Amino acid sequence: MNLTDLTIEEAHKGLTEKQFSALDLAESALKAIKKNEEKLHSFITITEAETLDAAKKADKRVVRQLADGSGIDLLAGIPAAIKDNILVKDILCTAASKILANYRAAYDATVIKKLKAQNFVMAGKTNLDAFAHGASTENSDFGPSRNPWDLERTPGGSSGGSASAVAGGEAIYALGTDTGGSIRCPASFCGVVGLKPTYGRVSRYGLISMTSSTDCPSVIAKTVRDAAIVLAGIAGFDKKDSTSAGKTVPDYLKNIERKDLKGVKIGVPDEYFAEGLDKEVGQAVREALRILEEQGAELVPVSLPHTAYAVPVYYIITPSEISANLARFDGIKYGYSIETDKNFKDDIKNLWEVYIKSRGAGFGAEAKRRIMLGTYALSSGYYDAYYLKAQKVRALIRQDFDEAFKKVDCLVTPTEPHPAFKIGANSTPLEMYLEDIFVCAVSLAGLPAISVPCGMVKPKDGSIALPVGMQIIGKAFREADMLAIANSYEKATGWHKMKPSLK
Amino acid sequence: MAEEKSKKEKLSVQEVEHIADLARIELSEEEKSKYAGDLSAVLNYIDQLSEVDTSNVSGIPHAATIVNSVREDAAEDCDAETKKKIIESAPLKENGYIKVKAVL
Repeated sequence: MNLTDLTIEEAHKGLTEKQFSALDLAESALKAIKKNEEKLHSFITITEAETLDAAKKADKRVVRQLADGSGIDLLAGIPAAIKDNILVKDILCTAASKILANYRAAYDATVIKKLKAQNFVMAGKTNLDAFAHGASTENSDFGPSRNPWDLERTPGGSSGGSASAVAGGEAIYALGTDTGGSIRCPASFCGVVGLKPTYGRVSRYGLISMTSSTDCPSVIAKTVRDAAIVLAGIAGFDKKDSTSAGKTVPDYLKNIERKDLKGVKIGVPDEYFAEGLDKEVGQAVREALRILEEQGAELVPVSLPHTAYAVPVYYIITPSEISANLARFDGIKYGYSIETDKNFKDDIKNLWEVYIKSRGAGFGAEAKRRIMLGTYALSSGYYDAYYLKAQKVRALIRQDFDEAFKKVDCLVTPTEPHPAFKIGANSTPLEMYLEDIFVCAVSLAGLPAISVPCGMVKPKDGSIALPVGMQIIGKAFREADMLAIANSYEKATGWHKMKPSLK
Repeated sequence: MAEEKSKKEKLSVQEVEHIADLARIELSEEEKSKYAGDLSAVLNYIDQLSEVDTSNVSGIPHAATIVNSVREDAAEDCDAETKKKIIESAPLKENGYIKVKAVL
């Protein structure tokens, strides 16, 4: 058996009982990476030397902590894959964009700093759509990752490499980011758990910023309990993030086990079971709802009337913030510069040319599209019609959720309207944007959500069965309730235990 | 053909050139016409927002629900190692400074 097939809890138990060491776990992850990377391409950077070094250090501390009885952290020595838009000191951080191909992080993101305090072992940096712009990893400047269930398909995105690494046994858990569905979409497509916390719960400091008003460091794990453990390990107030919430982080494992779901009210929004949803996906989610009902939950029909406007709002807000956030890539402070490009022979006359040529050559197509869309939406004469209008509709989307949450404890929807699509299937940018249809409203409202595996279906264009994800949306800062409901469902089913064939 | 296209599309090649200038991105001729099409399709799709009545919504909502966590505006010195690493990240540098073409 491959040790990276274990859950965090199982690996932790093995470490505590001295069945194996952190070095064994790290070697197992590196072996799986060597074996599977040709197929999956989950990683942009594999950090073999640093991984082994960290594992050896972790072992020393584990031995000491076990000997003196102080106990070891749940995440100590557990090999993790980290999305390549999260800074890890001295390690390359590319955001999957050529413009940052040689950039080495000068400091740790807060989430990494927190993990390092818990004996962190990183397996490597995972692939994404460049700057997290996309839903498939096809926008990566270093080539797409592949879905472990069917290698012709995408793992989803943008945290696709994080999801394929965990589903493909290359790491025990992973960090990603979720700005408009980027953790939940790949979790759904790869048959793993994807947890997006409430906006503000986890510090954004040290992420390569995309949409500052919705960016959330997020978790890929194999079980709901594991996701809760990782969230506990990264959550909390951070003075370096101006929108960090000053709320106490509860013990997420403490109340995660429930005898039943009696008294829990689950809202089922009509708009998420409407046209455009694959029949089989809809059936799988309805069956999951039936199981939740069997456990004692009450299903309540609710309406989120502005759902259809979430994607258009998202594709104004997001590009607008991107146009500002990506202004920092100017060929001067870091990353690619036309001035040091040996293939570029012409004389660079002035600062203007440094900017336009560095950015023109360094950014990929999707980053350029989004920067320009945002520049347009914020430009004089268009601001009211686009940006301000989108912000107002965003307020209405949030109000929809507020209204629903007066009646229910959580909402359940499909995570994606269909299972994983084939690489190249979405031929226009707009088609790809529509992948966010069930996930981006949650981001605009800043709410927590989790995608858990809830079935396997055969896609319309293939014969290999693929995972389906159910999305559970919680109230702001009530991740604990959401996790308990997700855990209760997971315990009753075996979907999370299914393993892909890597074919 | 070009005329037919400009009627259908929200953004002309000239407008794309203007936006690209504002965004400080140099585009090839091929990119200009491609992005005119791509961005027009997205803007057409986004137009559906005009059907939403927002007359009762005031201001930007996020600001109302999230409180900025502010701290004292005091200069915090960055350690020498980090400082060195940050300067090293710059493509062009000299004597511990980032080198930039003349601004004026």
